Amino acid sequence: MSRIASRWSLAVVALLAAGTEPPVPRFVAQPDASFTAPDSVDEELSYVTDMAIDADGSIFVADLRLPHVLELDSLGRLRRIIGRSGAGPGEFVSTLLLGFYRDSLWVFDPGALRISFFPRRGTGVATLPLDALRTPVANERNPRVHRGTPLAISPDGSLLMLENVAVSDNPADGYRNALLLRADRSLLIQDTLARLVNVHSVCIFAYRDGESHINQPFPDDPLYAESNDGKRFATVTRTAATGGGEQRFTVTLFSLMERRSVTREISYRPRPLPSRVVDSAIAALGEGMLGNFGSPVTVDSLRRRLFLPSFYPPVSRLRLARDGTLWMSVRFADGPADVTEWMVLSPRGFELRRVTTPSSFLLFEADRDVLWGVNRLPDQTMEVARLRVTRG
Amino acid sequence: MKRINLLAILSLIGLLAVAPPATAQSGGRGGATTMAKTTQGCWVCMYSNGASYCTGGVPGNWNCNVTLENGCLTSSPGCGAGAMLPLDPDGAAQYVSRGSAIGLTTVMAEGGGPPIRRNCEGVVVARYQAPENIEGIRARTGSLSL
Repeated sequence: MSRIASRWSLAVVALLAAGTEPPVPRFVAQPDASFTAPDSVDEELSYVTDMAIDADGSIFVADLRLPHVLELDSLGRLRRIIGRSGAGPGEFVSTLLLGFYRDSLWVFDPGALRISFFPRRGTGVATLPLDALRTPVANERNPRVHRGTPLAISPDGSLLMLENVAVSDNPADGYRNALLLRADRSLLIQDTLARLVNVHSVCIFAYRDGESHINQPFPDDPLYAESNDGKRFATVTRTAATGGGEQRFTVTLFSLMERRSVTREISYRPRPLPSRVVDSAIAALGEGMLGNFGSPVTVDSLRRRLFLPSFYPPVSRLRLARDGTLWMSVRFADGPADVTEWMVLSPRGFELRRVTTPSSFLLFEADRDVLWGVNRLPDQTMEVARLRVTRG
Repeated sequence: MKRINLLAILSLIGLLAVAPPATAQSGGRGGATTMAKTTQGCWVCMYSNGASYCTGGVPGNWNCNVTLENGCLTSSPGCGAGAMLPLDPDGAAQYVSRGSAIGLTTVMAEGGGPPIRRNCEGVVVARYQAPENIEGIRARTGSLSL
């Protein structure tokens, strides 16, 4: 053992002497042949917004367009459908986020504005109404309560909340800030963990008959992610570069239980954003929002108002895995073009490896060499997928 | 083909598809047409870390639609306040309007027909409908005012 350690030390010394960092190991994630979700499940899915994996590999899937949660076993087979359409206990208008709280699965319904708790095994339901959009003005008798989206529930029962904040009455201004709040189990706010700028995420067009809230194709506002057990969350500032030299972005990892955080700066070289990609994105928005849904916003107006940086923002997606690692989908100058590249950080914020996944794959959860997510299919549906990470 | 049809059904209006369609109501007012009154309980568009979603409204108010790639589209700020829609005085169960209010896709017709678009009160907006589709709606409901 001492001989191995000695060789390792010599290797590190040699690298330091040469002025180079050890190369980051690179891996490839490929479909797991032992996992197949049935077509009947995949055909239901079109807007998967969250996914949680139980200790035995069971998969819980939330799709915003569905009034229920799908539970699959570790091989992808449908085990049960949790909830149904309605307003009663255990019923949903839609499902946005879910996670685990002790022995329960919690599910946030943005339509009914409440959280439902289901035993992971067995029957029964408990409901926590949120009344998220009708916040009373705070005073001594009525302290301020949250009015946001619950992102996670910690083991001590406290909630991590997201609150979008408007700065004017003009609907076109939208929500310019987002607050990450900690609320106790009675929903009273205890702490503001982060205040995030929210100016390049959605472009709002207001007109006589309504509003179009169009997702920015190249957002560079801060990202955040929470673990499904409510113990940790992370933020990434990722302002798009204005020049091609070496740039930096910042990652902060929070431990909600231990009340501490670590911050790391990561260097990278930005990748130019080609005009053909911009044109393609605007055309897709024109086809989708304007063509299919009748929005009166013109393509020319889109081009003038959308945020179109010269370089890709360095990070486009963020997930906190249940093994404690942070997965960041990155676009750097030296990265691959036709696949998604993930930079994987340790719980203390040090880079462990790079992993590539198919560009159609949307990651939701990871545990060492296993990834769970969905593949976006050309017909706008989604299929649940599990990938295995192997040496590239 | 099965997948396409199922997608069409699932695309009804996304999360609002679970609610029954609202009926046009005259509120007891006389005359051939009256102005729509503001409806409470509109949905609003929110955003969370890359996902847009409709929240806070009352099922049955068809005023918010959302797609994964594009975002949200809401009709009629105040959900009817700016719609200026004529309402069917007898409160018929189905109603087609040529009002200028924006319509949201609520039903993708099977077999490639045109989608049905409703405003936030559930009223079918005729300017998006082909003539034969309006005829179809008329035949199904027996009540149509234009």
